[in-house]
Formats: sequence, structure tokens, C-alpha cells
Amino acid sequence: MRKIISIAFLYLRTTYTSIGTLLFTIAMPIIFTFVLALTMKGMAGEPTPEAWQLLIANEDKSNLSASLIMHLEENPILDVEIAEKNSTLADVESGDALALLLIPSGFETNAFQHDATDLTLYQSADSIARAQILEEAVKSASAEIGGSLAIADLSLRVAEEIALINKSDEDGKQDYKEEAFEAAQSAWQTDEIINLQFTEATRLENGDDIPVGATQSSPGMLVMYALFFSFGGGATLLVERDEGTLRRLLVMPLSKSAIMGGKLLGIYLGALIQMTIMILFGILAFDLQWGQSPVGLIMMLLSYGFASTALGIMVAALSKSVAQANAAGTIVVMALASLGGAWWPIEIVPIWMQNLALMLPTGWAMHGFQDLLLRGLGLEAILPTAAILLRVVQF
Amino acid sequence: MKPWTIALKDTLIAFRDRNAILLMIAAPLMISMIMGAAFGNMGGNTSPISEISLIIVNADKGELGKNFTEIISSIDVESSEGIKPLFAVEEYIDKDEAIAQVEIGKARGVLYIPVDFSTHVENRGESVNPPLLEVYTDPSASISPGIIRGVVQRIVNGFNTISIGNNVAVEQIFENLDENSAQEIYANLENLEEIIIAENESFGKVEGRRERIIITSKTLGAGEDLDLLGYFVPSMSIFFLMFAAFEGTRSILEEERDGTLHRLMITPTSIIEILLGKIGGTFLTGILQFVILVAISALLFGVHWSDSLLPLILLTIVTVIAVTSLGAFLAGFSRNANQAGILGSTLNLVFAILGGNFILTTAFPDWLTIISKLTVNRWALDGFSTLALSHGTLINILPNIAALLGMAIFYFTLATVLFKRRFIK
Repeated sequence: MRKIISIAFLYLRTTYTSIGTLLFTIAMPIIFTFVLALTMKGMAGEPTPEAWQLLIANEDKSNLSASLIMHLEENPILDVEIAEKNSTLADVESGDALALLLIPSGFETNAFQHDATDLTLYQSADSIARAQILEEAVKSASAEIGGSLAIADLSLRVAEEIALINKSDEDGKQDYKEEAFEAAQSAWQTDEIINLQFTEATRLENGDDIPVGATQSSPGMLVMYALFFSFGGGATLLVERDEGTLRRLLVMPLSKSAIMGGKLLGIYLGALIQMTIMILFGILAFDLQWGQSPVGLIMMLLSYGFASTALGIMVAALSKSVAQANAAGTIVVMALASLGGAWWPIEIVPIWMQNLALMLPTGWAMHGFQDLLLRGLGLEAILPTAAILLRVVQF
Repeated sequence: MKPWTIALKDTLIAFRDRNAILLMIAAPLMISMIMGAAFGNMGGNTSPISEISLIIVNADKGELGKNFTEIISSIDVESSEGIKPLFAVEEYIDKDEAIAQVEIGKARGVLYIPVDFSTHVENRGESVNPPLLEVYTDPSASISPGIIRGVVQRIVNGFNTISIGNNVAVEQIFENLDENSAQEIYANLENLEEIIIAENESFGKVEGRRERIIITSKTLGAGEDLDLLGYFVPSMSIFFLMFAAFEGTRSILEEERDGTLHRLMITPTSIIEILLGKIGGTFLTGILQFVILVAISALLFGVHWSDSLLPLILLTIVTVIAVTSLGAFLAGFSRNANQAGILGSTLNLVFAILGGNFILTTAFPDWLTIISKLTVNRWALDGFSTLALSHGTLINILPNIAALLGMAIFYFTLATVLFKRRFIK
């Protein structure tokens, strides 16, 4: 056992004295995590849930449009900003702005004098998933204003039925409808009968302080770079075979299994070091606490480290040369990372890809790390995930 | 002639190597396909997210709770795969069990409809505490909770509309009545309840369901008729072109290490001819790699690279020149083949993430956008995207061609200086 440990430590010492290793295990993952978190707007200190920017071009300047804007401003998930139509449309088109709501001229007049009135929501094609949230928020605010308009219609019809309003008195009808609308708008404020309460289902005690982007990029890059390290480790076994250093080791008083065991332990420990670096970076740069269960986190690291090492060795064993192991490794790591949800939130991909992710070790690893990081789950929830990851070793 | 012979030999070696082909051709196509499949639901005017797993716990004994569930279950969205339900609804009896499903990531949200929901809504004004609908969402999701919130709020607004409507109608009548009002009106008031019920029936069937505010959604930008592979294939092609080009120029240092470069130097071939041949081989390999990727992706996946051939050819050539020059500079800068390998891989990955090969650069803050524009990847990718997605012409991509040429001249000049110092004593 001591010999195995010695070989493992020798492997780690050789690996970490290389500038290349330091670049790939420290600098690269940090740059990737940082840039990804930045683009997902999740720097430390940013509140959660995130407020999505909605630009509004108000061409109507009426009471009704002001009321709609007020309703939108009341929605905590929206960051409403009044803008000018033409320049903002260009921003939406270029992807610099998420969406623009156009309240056209005649919005109020059409609402009271005609059957319906129109709004146009321009969404950026670059952020179509986020724009779907804005669309629902706009529909929700419009439903309240539209509800008041419907109530005004109802009120007028009842008044006509009891002959309080003359059906041919257009001005009188218009005034009555507007009065009813105002009464309905007041009733929304004072009489709201159904209340809504929104809660994030997390067991974390400080769930609101989690930066959004880092919760994706930190575990994502941890998962990807642990794989890169293990696959690199597998390739170094082939380098040693080609350069004859493995044969030299074999003439020493060491069994084949001790040599291989030492090498594998070295790769495994390296993967653990790699993941620990990513965790420390998450804590220092983004204030990520990695959940409430240190034991659960350790279990995840140990089991994913096993899975990652096993995959690295498997690809190396199937490769005929170092070049092949490197080429296949790059493709396999990138494919596993992207399919497993390490590059983007898994919820935005189609259902079949979400199911596919659960057939991959990277998918389960992301699931496990997010169970700890976002859901605040403990060891009992992590154990099944860890067991699935350990099954990978069997291959 | 001699540089051409060396270039041709290196190109043949590259295309006889299965592993190189794996990285040059198979990898970009495969990763592009994965990205295309992942974001295939993001194009056009369709909703990217559908079948959000939502658990409804309907503790209400009346009809309205059932109505609420039916409304949510019946919402459809037009996805890239056709019409699909927005929510995949499951019904649970136990609220805590349902919340636990969200907590462990088995569902994206829970909607709890309280016991006396119908009673409270139907007997508005008589209830002391208004009903409280509870929504619990998955903290690991960033999009679905916003959608669930919007939809539930919209349906609640619908219920509130019906409920508030009756009161407003009655209150307004009494506000407008006075002693001068006609007797006919007072007589009709005796039938007010029946009138309101009749109007409500009409309201429930037609009027209440009619949309007073019609929202039209329009998608702007490259995604209006988005061919996502038209973005991802060029993106991954540039990324893996760099891999191949850096490997090509690194082979100069490998030949130096193995002694074959010095053997070549004692033949009647000048070092300049040898270096031009090696760099030319990398350029030729890159051009062939790109041509094959364009051809395969166009034939197999129907990727539309450009409306006309000339801008595509010019952009491809300047991109390959820029990448090859960068590779030559790296080889000249590195002490040995090993260092060139490490620096090359590092630079490739850094340029890829900064240049937008993995993430859209539109999400970058301003300072990162400036850094991004220092990379070959950014100018090349913007150029190919302009041609493929915005149907751009040669004039539209002239700035990209100029920037890439400028970078190529800069890197090639540096490479020449470094190679001169290294090989010409």
C-alpha cells in the first residue's frame, strides 16, 4: 500500500511541477468559470431572483398606459425602464436589450371605444428563453387591465338592461364605462380576493443570497475540468508506455498492480485536487457556500472523482496512441460536459436532452452539486446520486 | 516550388492521420450538432420551453379549483417540435410531498390551491380571510419559475375579474341612482340578480374570455428565422481550426527536436523556404479543413453559409491566414514543442471563450467586449454569422476581413522576427 501511495504522490509531484498542468488546472478553469458567470449575470452580491430588464416605449401617454406601466413596475421580477422606440428596437435586434414593449398611440382610445386594443412585445432572438418570462409577465399585467375593461363592459351591459343608460346615448355609455373602469381599478387595489405567495423550495437557510450565474458556471466547470484532468491522466499512462518509463518501473521490485494502482490513485487524487480548487474559487470569488452539508459535498467529490478517473482510464485503454487518446478525450469531454448540463442550465434544452443528461455521469454530477448548492439537500439525498456515479466505475 | 512541395507533403500527412481528422472534421460537426439540438428550440417565434413539470395540489372541494387545474393543463405553446403543453401537470394530494418533489429536483414547481378556494371566491365579501394560493419553485431553475409565476398570476387575475365584476356593476348602479331616476329603473332593480346572472353567463361564455388587450410577440435579430447550426458550425469550425493550425505550426518545433529540420537544412533548401513550406502546409490544411466542413455541413445538415460564394471564400481565406499566423507566432515564441503545445491549447481555449465560440458575446459587459475584439475568433465568427444568419454581403464583412488581415500581418511579422532570431544565425 505504501508503494502505491508513493507512486501516486510521485505522479502528482511530476504533474504539478509542469507549468502546463498549472495553466490547465488553475488558470483555465478560473477564466472559464469567471466569464461564464459574468455572462449569466451572477457575480457575488447580486440579488436572487434576478430582475429581467423590460424596456417600454409608451407612445400613448394616457392614463391607461400609465396604469399598465405601474402594474409592470409592481412585478418584482421585472426591471422596467422607459425607452425610445426606434433606438431600442435596434438594441433588441442586436441582442443588447432583451425585450421592448410598445404601447402604441391610441391604446386607451381603442380600449374604450373598440372591442380590443393592441400591444407589441419585441423580443431579442439572442435571449428567447428569458424573453418567454417577460411575455408571461406582460400577459399577467395586461390580464388585470383587461379584466377591468371586461368589468366595465359587464357593468355597462347591466346598466343598459335595467334602463339606467339609454342604449343610443353613446356619450353617456362612454362615461359610464370609464367610471366602471375606474371603480374596477380601485377594486383591484382594495378588494383583491385571491392572494398569491411565491416561494423558492430550497432547504438553504440563506437561499436568497445565492448569485445566479455562478451556481451554473462553478459546478459546470468543476465537472468539465475534473474530466479534462482525468482524461489527461489517462493519456500520460500512454506517454509513459511509449517512452518506456512504465517498462523501467516494471523491473523494480513492484507488482504490476501496485504500479497501476499508484498511477490510478495519483489521477484520482489529482481530480480531487482539481475539484477542490474549483470549490475554493467559487467560495472566494462568488461567495458560494456549496450547501449545508460538508459530508454530502465530500461524498459527491469522492464519487464523481471515481467516475471521472474511470472514464479517463477507459478512453486511454481504448486508444491506440497518445494522439488518439488526446483527440478522443477532447471530443468526449466536451460532449459529456455539454450534454450533462455543465455549459448551460439543463432546463432550457428539450425534454429528450434532459432525459439523456440523466444517462451520463456529468448529468448526475451536475444534479448532485446543484442539490447541495441550490436545494440545500444533505447526505441522504446525495447518496443515490453518488451510488449512480460509482456505477460508472464498473464500466 | 520547394515550399509548395513541403506544404503539400504536410497537408497529405495531416489528412492521412485518423486522429487529426477526428479533431479537424468529426469534432466540430459533433459538438455543433449537440449545440444545435440543445438550442434547436430557441429559433423563430416559438416558445423555447414547454412541458414544465408542475405539480398541482388541489385541496379545494368546489368547482373553481378544478377549473384552475384544467386551465393550467390546457395551455399550449408552439414549440419547435409543434404544439406542446406548456406544463406537464401532475396532481398530488399531499402538499408537503409535492414540495419535497421540487426540493429534490423532480419537479419545477408546485401550485397549492387551498381547501376553501371556491367558497371564498363565490362568496366574495363574506369571507374574513381571502384565499391564499401558494406557488413553490425550483431554485436551480432560472426560466421556469418566471413562467409559472406569470401564468398563475394571469389565471388568478381572470378569477378576480369575474369576482370583482359583480360588485362593481351593482355599486355603480346605486351610485348613479337618485330620486329623479325613472320608475322603470326601480322596477327593473327587482330583477337585478337575474340580470346579473344572465350577463355573467354570457360573460363567462363569451365576453369574459375575450381578450381586451391583444399582445403580439415579435422576435427580432438573427433568430427571426434562425438556423442555429448556421451559428454553431462556423463557431466550432473556427475553434477546431485553431487546434489543427497550432498543431501544424508546432510541427516545426517537433522537427527541430527530432533533428529532421536540421537534416532538411543541409539540403539545398533555404530555411526561409522550409518555414514557408511548413506554414504554407498549415494554411493549406486549414483551407481544406474548412472547405470539407462547409461542404459536409451544407450537404448533411443544410447549413446555409452564405448567399454568395465570394465573401465566404474571402472570409475563409483571411480567417485561415490569421489563425496560421497566430500559430506561427506561437511556435516562434515557444522554447520547444512541448511549450508550444501547452501555450497553443491554452490560447485556443481562452480565445474561444472570449471570442464567443461557447457563449454569445452579446451577454458580455462592455469591458469584456473590447477584450473579445482582440481575438481572431470574434472577428471570424461575427463575419461568418453575418453571412449565414443576416444574409450579409461582402461589404458587410469588409471590417471583419480587414481586422483579420491586420491580425494576420501583425502575427506573421512577429513570427518572422522570432524565426529569424532562432534559425538564421
